[in-house]
Amino acid sequence: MKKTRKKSQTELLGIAIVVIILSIGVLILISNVMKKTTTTEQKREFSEKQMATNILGAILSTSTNFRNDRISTLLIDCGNCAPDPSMRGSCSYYEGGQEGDIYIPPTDVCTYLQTIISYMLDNTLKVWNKKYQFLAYISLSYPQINITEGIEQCMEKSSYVQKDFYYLPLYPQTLTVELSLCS
Amino acid sequence: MKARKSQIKIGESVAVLMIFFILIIMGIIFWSRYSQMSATQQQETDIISKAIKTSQTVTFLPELQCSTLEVIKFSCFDLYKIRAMQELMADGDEMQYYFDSFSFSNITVYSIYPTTESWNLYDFTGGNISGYVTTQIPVAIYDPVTMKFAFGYVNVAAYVKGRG
Repeated sequence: MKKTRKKSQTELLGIAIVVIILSIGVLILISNVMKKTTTTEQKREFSEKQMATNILGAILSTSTNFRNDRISTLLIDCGNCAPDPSMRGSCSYYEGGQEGDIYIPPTDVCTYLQTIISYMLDNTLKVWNKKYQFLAYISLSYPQINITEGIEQCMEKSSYVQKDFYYLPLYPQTLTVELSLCS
Repeated sequence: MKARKSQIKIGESVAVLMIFFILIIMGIIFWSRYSQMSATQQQETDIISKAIKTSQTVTFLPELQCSTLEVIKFSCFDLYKIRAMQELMADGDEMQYYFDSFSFSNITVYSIYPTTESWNLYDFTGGNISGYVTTQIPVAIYDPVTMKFAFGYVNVAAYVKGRG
């Protein structure tokens, strides 16, 4: 009786050792996989965050043929216009003309900016298969400029969207320029 | 009777040993496949890191950056510095000087607006290549003569060396 009890205790100990060894193996495997995923994710996030910052900075400092002003100056001008295109009678007006490789018909400053910025983003982010949204607004509900390319798919997984902001002074308010980016 | 009992015991031990070795073999196969997969992943991650590192180096290269009264403008390249560097790189000796920074890669600056233009600044394959990983960094391109900024980007392609 005593011998049988001792034998079953030894067998139990054997099973316990096997279970412990298996658990350690699985834990090592999981930790390795997790570590790799985190590193790749961090690299992707860093690269997209930097891209959002750089592209906004570059767009805002670009010079145009509209009074030879930069886009940042024109955005301030656009901020003073109504978000509704049909109510932009008092806005700065572009006479129309060739802008490098694109022709822009006579239009108000906001529509002019919408065309130019769309052209820039189409030839960069869209080509690189990035989804994006460019917004310029005083109130987020009524943006002056809204350029969107497939960002809705990313909004479902909000953690993957990288955003960058610039704030332009617009007495007495502030015009927010926002770029959201995801792969 | 006793001999039969010990035969059964031997059979039991053999079965346990067989299962043990089967488990070990399965473990080794699984581990080797996993290692192979993770080595490929590691290689991919290394190439991406290399491309990001090279693009960072290019962005902060004093030979290209815009500066006014010694104040450096972030993410901006001087058009005349780009042209000068392109001319310089046409001679292979200068490319050797930048090899430590750029390694096996291709660096090209593209202007998108107002005009489409491109300048190849560096291209060093060093023999066989099996592919490349690209990163792009948008930049403003400043013309100090007209004092105008164009919109463009730097494309960095990090080459993956082929075998042989």
